[in-house]
Amino acid sequence: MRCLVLPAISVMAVIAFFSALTPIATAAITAKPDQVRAAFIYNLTNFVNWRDREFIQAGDCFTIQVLGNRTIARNLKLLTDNEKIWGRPFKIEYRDSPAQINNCHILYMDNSVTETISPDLIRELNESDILTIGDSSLFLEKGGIIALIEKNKRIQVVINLSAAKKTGFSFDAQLLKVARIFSPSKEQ
Amino acid sequence: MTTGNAPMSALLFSLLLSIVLVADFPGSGLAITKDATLLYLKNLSIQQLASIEVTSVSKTEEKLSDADAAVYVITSEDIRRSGMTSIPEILRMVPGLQVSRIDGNNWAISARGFNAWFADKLLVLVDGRSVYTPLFSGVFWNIQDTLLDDIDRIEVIRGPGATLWGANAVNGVINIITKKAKKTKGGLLKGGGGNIEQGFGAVRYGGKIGTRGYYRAYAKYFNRGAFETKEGRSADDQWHMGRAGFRLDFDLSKESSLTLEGGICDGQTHDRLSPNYLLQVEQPHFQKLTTDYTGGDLLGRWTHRSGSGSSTTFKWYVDRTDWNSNYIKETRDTLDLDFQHSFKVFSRNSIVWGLEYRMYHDNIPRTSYFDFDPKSRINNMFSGFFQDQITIIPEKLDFTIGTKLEHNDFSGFEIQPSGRFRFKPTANQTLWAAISRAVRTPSRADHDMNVLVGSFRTGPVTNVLLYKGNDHFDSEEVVAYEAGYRVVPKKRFSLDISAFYNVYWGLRGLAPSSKASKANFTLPGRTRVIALVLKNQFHENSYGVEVAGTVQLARWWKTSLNYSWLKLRLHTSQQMVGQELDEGNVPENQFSIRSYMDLPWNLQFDTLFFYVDSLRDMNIPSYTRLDIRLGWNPAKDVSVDLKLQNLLDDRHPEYINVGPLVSSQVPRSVYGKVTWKF
Repeated sequence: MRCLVLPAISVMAVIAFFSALTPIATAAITAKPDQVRAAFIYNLTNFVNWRDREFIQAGDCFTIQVLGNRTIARNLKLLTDNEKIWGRPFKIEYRDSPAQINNCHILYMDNSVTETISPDLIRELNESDILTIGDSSLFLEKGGIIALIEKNKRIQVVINLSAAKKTGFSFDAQLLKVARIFSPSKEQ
Repeated sequence: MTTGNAPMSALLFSLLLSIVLVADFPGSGLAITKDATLLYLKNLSIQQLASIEVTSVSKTEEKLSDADAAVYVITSEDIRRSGMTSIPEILRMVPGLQVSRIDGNNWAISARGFNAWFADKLLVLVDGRSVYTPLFSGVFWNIQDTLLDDIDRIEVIRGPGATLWGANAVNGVINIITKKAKKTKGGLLKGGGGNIEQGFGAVRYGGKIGTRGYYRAYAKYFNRGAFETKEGRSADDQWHMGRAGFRLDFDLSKESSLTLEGGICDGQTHDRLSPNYLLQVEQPHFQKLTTDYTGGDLLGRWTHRSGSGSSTTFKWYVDRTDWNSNYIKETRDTLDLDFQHSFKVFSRNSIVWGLEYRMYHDNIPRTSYFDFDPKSRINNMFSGFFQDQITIIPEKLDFTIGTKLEHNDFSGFEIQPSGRFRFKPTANQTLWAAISRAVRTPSRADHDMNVLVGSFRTGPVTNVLLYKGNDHFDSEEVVAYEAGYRVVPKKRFSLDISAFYNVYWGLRGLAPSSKASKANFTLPGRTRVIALVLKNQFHENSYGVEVAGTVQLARWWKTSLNYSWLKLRLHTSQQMVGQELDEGNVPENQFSIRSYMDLPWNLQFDTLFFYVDSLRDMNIPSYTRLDIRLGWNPAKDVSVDLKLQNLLDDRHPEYINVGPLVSSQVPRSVYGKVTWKF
């Protein structure tokens, strides 16, 4: 019995010392916003219904293009590695400028890009059945469909229902329960 | 995984993660932990994802790590935890700044040398309003104040910032930026006191106006006791000041916003004047000086950000300052109109351009010591600037080139160009270099001043020394070469190094005047006037290195370390009279450590340590200073602070003023404070 006490105490002391040193161990899990955003994008695909089933089944891969944020692209690559959706692998592509967008199913746009583009571009994307995801309310104001907005240290899913209806996207109840619905008049 | 399991699995996961982290703590294991977090997130449900706490670097910090200049930001957290009670004292935290207390209510503050009571090479702005006075060129630090809780951040840029900010940003720019009214909703009440801080209090209230507007208003007052003389007696330099202000922010539409802010202040300072500077041949005693200050300002700003990434700002302000003593009196009104437009061209050019007009109207009545000729003046200043940031390789390499063209009544047109390049080898490293030219434009005093600075007796004749302004006094100029490296390898550690080499021409000095003149002073019969006139005389080099680092030792313990090294070399063959540019007037080495500790039971224990090298030519020995703050939050909205300043010595001098003010020594001090938010 006695021979166990000393190792037990030293193990506890080591854990106590390192847990004080480690930011993550002492509190609940914290993550980088772009990690949580990537996880959301990966997860969302299960709760979104495209107007055109054929469109999402077209091509060899399910393609997500990321505009202006290399971290998100990298995180998505790690998340989707060896994963399949509707029987097909994911393909993650990083894009520098809006001119390089082509043939994708989901387009994620960083706010640095959102600030510089006109609403026409997003409308065009929506009309070609691409699910547009951004990270700011400005993105929704410009007609984007889903925004992953950081608020009160959480990432909040905000859905622009009117834009989604126009272009024929619908969402499962499970997602709508978590999400906030964007209403242009109330936004600052 | 079900929702019910989440806390338990989070705990297990965090333990696992801590082991991973610890196992490769000094190594390059960050990628593993990052990916581990991702893999954990991957298996969460949408509900669980929505509840994950995120930590992110704020916008300003992001910009800071990218900046192509020697920038240092003091956050509102730094201000709160420093326990400092005035803006000039807060600036001690900035590497490369020299902050010296002359007496209880006067400071000498400068960047990269040339420190003096009116250090004339540092531009200071409060929400874009210049508080640099064109009277003597410099800043009256004792009237620069606001409710410190309302300051969002203080950005300090060392090195010339004239291309963007305008003349007199020769060695640096300090931007004091207050919080938006939206961020200061609700009430705040605070009060406290101690041996030097003899009593202070402040109240602020903020809220919403309609659906699109926010407001706040505040009032504050303090009464500060006197510092000490070398012998430990009262230096009679106590002061008190009251201040009130407001800020309104309106969102006119999604794209445009309007800000209106203003304030008034009223106070009184006490100082001692040196007999050497007074016409008191018979009675060589210190004379007490009482100065009354009043001031007011009002600023409006309209900002429009359009969808195409362009933004337009129109800003105006009016400002009145009035100081009144037996020694010197001045009333000054300022009007400023400012327009700025930024936009992108061909996705690779970020262009900013602007126009500014400023008008000063002053009135400087004659006293026994000062005579300005003319007594009152209206001065106009026009300027325009253009800057283009050209992206060569996106997110890797860019080049910024620009210039300011300015016209003032004293020195005419001034061109202040700059070129900077920035290279980011990786996302967390920045290398930058810059060359810029900036000028210190002539002040009203440089041109129009006559001041009697002392007298001595030879036989039956009284000799009086007169300093005279010079209508041909031109701008002082600098060409600065700078470079820097910044790295944030891990969240817990950052390092910022900058180095500079500056060449100055036409620095102000005094030369014997050929013309005998007694200006308009009435002097007794047997008086001989020795006149010295201001001239652009000196050529000087300076060079130095500044290092700033932060280390997060634990989740509850953050430290910052700053070091700066500075050298000045004066080149002149001429006879120097009364010049204030001695090489030995700057501390060659400065070092500081800040430590913030979050302890259990809602306690905070914060330490500030400063080492400042000697000022050789002033015979000021080097000094160390230790401050301790103990903070306690007994309830969510209540905080109690105990602050001990200057623990290491009874008192120490920081500066010997070259001028009429008699310096005093900084004593040990203590104060307590209670803050209640509602």
